[in-house]
Amino acid sequence: MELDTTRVNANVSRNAAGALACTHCGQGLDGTVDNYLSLLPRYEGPVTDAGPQVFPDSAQFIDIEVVFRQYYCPGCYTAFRTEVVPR
Amino acid sequence: MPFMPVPGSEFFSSRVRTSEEVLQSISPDLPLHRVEPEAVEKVDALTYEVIRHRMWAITDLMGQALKQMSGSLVVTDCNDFDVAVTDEIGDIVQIGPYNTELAAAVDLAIKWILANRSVNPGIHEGDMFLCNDPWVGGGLHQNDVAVFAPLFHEGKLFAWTAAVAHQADLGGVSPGSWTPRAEDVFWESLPTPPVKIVRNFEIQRDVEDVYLRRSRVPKMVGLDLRAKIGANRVGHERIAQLIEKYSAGTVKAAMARQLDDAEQRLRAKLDAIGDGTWSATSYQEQSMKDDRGVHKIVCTLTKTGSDLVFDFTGTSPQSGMINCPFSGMYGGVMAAVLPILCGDIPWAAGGIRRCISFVTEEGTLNNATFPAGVGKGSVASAWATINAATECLSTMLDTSVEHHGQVQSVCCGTWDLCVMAGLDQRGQPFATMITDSMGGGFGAGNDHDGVDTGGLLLIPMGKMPDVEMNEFMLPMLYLWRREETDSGGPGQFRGGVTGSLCFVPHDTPAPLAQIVSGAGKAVPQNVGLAGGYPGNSQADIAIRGSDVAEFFARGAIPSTLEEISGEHVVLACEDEVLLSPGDVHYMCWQSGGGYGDPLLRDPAKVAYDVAEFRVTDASARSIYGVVLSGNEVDTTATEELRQQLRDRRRELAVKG
Repeated sequence: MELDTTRVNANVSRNAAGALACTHCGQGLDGTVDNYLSLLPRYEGPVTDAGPQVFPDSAQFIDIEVVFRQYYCPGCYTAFRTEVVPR
Repeated sequence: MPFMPVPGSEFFSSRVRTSEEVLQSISPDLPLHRVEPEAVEKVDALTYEVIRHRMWAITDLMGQALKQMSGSLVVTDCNDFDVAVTDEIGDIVQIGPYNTELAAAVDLAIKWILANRSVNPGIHEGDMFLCNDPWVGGGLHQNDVAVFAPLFHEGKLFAWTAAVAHQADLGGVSPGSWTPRAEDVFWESLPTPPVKIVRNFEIQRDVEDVYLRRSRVPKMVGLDLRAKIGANRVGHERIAQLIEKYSAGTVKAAMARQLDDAEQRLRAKLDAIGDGTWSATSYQEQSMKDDRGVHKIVCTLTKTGSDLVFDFTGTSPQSGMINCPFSGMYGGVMAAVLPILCGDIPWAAGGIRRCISFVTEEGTLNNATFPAGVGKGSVASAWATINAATECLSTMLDTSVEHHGQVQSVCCGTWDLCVMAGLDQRGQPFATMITDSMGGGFGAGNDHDGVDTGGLLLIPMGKMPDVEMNEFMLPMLYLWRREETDSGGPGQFRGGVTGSLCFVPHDTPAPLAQIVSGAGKAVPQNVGLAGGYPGNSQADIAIRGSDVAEFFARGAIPSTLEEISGEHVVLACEDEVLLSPGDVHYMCWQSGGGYGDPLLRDPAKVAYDVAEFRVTDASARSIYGVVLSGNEVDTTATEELRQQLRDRRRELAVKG
């Protein structure tokens, strides 16, 4: 049975020619399945951007800065990935 | 601090081996009960299903027996144990539904016993072996003590049963056997490789004494030992009844079919998913007391056809007391694979494991070499392995048109440990762990919210203890235990909220010794998927010299930390402190990660969450972009706010 490969994940789909697009707005995306995320518009800011559930002062515990990072569709600016990670 | 491996310690390091390698390692004097492949084929479907379900029921009965004989709250009230039935060479035919992380590496230990104990002292009918050496397997840190029981039929080794449970204390420099000060394993409980604790159906008192002598609570640990022996006896009796009814050949053939069936069904599922590679990193802060670093477990999952390779290359070097040996990495992967990939497949872990292989480097966090500190391995690097494996498996499933409904964002990312020791209200010494963090938040799926305080991914049958029982057994009074608003990871589908508790020492004459241990305070471990946000940070806070007694004197109970006067101290990830009369201890464990962009969440669901105190009105606006008017959604204002938030993202983002 041939696999249906139109779905890349919840946010990205692939057309018959293999090109990637945003599932929500249809905006075409640069790159391939392996590297499209790194080519998306990206925001980096303080961890307070993640919401009140994340402790705001990582310096109480560690010497490494922790940041909020988000990757967006270049068309509708839906977040494809959200992370709070050491810089 | 760099570790110098102890020469000869590699003898105790279990690794995954093929059936042929295991068979070659066993003494020829140990007769094995084997069946030919043709016999496996001949078992009719009805008989197979009856025996398969009976095996599940036997593990359930073994678990019930263990609970009813144990005197430890960790076992009786939280289900931090597990049981398993394996075939004659240690492949797990049925794993119990309790702490799967514990039992997932049982096979490593049984294969080690077969290779290293079948000649001397020999493996005979009526024997049982005790092991708490995580390098050998069975449990994932020294507190996990396993008892393995070979089952013989007509003089041949037919199968094994195993019972594993967390023990309250097995020695070491700190109560509870976890020490944030551990520089290596010699600070911790002594790892004991498999020893014959039962010979010819009799407990060996000399071996038992060696085992119990190390504990601060030897009577409780001794009772648990008998509970595990009893659980194995129950398993043996029930399997013997099965053999009597269906014949040994038929039962063994059905057991072999269980392994084959699980393997084939997982391979069929994997075949329906496209090949690819997925990566995830799970972080842990502070590998020991006063450490200021961040340590990572890197997992790269490659799927080719129906085979999975978990590659942990890039994982940080072993450090402090958060390491786990190979068994922790192996058990961690299996504890993620079973619930995420195998929810509709029998948990014959020995068959499922045939689809999986590992790449890992010696001397790293989840493949630590002796004498690294591993006392916290089960809830540190083994759990972090589960988190990374969960993220990889879920992103793999998310690519599948057929199977994306099984996606699972990361659940509660670790155990919020609070060990206490001191004198109880009866003037007796005690040592135990506070286990309320069994009620962690579950990660969201891609079509549903995570279950609020739903439990832990790795312990399907785990449960929170009864507050009243804790107060009855321990010198403590709860100020509250409740779900925490805004704790769930925001998303189109929200992560399940988590809980918190706050208590004071009560009716004890002396300060209580406390071990506080758990990461996820600076870097979230409960990550979201597909744009979903991480869940809450873990928090442990002490209030020294509080005024809680004044609340009690006027018939009141404080309900927030802000109400309580005293010195508020945010406790480190790894700490060892005293909790004195008049102090307060607060702990908030982790929720589940969200799935999808919160701006895509149905506004009506946000309104419901606000009404149910799961989300605040402020977060409804700032994170979800939802404006409420009373309990109703203001649709126009919500659309405008969501557009403003997207425009704001456009303004602030930089090009990739």
